[in-house]
Amino acid sequence: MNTKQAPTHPLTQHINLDEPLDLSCYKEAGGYDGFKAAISQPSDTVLSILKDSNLRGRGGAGFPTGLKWSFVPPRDDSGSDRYLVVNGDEMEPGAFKDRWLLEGAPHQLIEGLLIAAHTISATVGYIFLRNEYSLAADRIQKSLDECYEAGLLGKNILGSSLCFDIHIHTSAGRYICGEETALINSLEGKRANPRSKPPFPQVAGLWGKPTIVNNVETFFNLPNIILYGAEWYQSLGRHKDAGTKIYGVSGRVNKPGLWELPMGTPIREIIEVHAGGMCDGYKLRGYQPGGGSTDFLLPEHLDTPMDYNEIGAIGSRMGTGTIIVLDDKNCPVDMVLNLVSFFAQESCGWCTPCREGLPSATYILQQIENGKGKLEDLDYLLDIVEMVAPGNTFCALAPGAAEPLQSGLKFFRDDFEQHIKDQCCPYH
Amino acid sequence: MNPMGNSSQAIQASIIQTDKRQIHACLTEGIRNEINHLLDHYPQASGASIDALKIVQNHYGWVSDDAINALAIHMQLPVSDLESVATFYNLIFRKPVGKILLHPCNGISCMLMGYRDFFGAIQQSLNISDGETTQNNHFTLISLPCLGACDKAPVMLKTGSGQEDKLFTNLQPSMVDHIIAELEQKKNKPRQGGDIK
Repeated sequence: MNTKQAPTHPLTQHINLDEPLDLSCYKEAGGYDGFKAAISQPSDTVLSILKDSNLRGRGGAGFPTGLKWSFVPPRDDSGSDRYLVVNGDEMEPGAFKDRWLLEGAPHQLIEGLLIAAHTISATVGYIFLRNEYSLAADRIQKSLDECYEAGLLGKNILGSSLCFDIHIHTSAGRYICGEETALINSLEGKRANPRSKPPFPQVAGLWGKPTIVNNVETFFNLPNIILYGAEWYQSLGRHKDAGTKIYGVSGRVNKPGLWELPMGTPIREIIEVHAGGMCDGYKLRGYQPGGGSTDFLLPEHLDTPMDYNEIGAIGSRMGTGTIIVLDDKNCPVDMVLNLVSFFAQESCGWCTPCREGLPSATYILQQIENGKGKLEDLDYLLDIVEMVAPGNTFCALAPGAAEPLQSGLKFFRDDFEQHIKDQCCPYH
Repeated sequence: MNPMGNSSQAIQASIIQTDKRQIHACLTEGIRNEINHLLDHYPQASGASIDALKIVQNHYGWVSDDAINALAIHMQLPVSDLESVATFYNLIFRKPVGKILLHPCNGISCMLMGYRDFFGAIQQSLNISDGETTQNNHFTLISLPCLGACDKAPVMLKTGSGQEDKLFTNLQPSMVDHIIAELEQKKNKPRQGGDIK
């Protein structure tokens, strides 16, 4: 166990957006100690620490990271490749947390990848970045170059048997690339259509080889978990889930932004204290707790702790943890229309419910917003919600689109009906 | 023994000759070197498809049919595979675009913070609609979904071949004229490649 003072902000302690720490400064600040601690232990031990820590994937689904990694088959003697992939294709509407981490502390990402490489015996890592994050790509490449020069990447890292390379892959657009199996297809140079599961990527992913895909923030958690242990990590949370989380707020609040806070911080505290509450003259109508594909919640839910189970229990998802605030001067129908048309545009077109259902929903919402809606349209929208429900589609894109649609219809039904009754949008 | 007769060999040789000319016309040595470097990152050449298309685009501003054919020969991939990828990803342009690409964010946070007013103003200022290019080829306007800068909404990203990316933040309609004037001044920075024939 490390005797140094454990950090209170393990994800952002090294962040510097103006000029991220270079290798020597990062090392001086304790960087790569987590990797050194990991590589001095057998990979099984590292995996156990990770499982005990109860770290859950920070991309949105919240799947336990240790459990995910344990599905990778034991290493054989074939010497065939095993892949690690960083999902840095941040395109969830209202999500901007990964950009902060990628631009602010690229070495912490690389350290997380190295720990993972040791744990699952990976040979190659890809950092999948969205095209627009060019500053992040430049900064990460600079850090990778430093690591190669210092023997932290390449053959026999730090004199061990670990050989690991990292490449950056910048995408060319499309939200669907954030879906794990679509991302793998995209890395193989194909259209980003999701794959059916099983087989799961842990067994047969990139080029048919065992592959782990995790979100940027998930990798950022690893160094300190290994350094300070599972118990310390668990103790950081304020509720049942472990660790800290990057939370964010956007919309008409006084101080939109991002903060690293204990997992389970109540929504009210995030919006009212950290984001400074609503701007003068605006009232809180509702909010999406974790990005555009999460169900709306209302002011009455403000005292709920932001963790996976608690937000799940009140009918939404924590998703990315970046809250989008709807004020009383923006039209809820218009907001749902913006979200659903985004998902319709970003559908890869592979399966029918998504390809056909989302454009239909967009058209109907447009009609309602433009004052041409009919009351029966609302039933038809609910039919579409049912049609794209989980299990009817290859991936979570269309079910994600249905979340703001169904909860919007539930919580802002009066607004939808008024649009139809008055044959115009009362907000415009 | 070669099963092909002499005349087949001659035809084959002339095809290879044409291929080489096609490659050299579109893919300069610099472009080929950049692509070859990236091929090392993947166990199969197809993995570098998107990168290769982007490298071509970075030099020429867009990806022409000739460029796709040349890439297919150079990377030994079917043309249809490259075309399928090029038409799937929305930041690969299969038609010429302006020198400067303006991408106002139409994601939800930007919409809530006034994207529409800004977008109306910039359309009016440039006298084009979404997806169009100004007559002088200086600007192309393409809205993109969530650019991941929601705390500074509304935002707009400026890109373009041989251009530095720049993110404009906390936008107001009144800022449009100043932004356009500033970009007009800077746009004459030389491009990396020439115009594609």
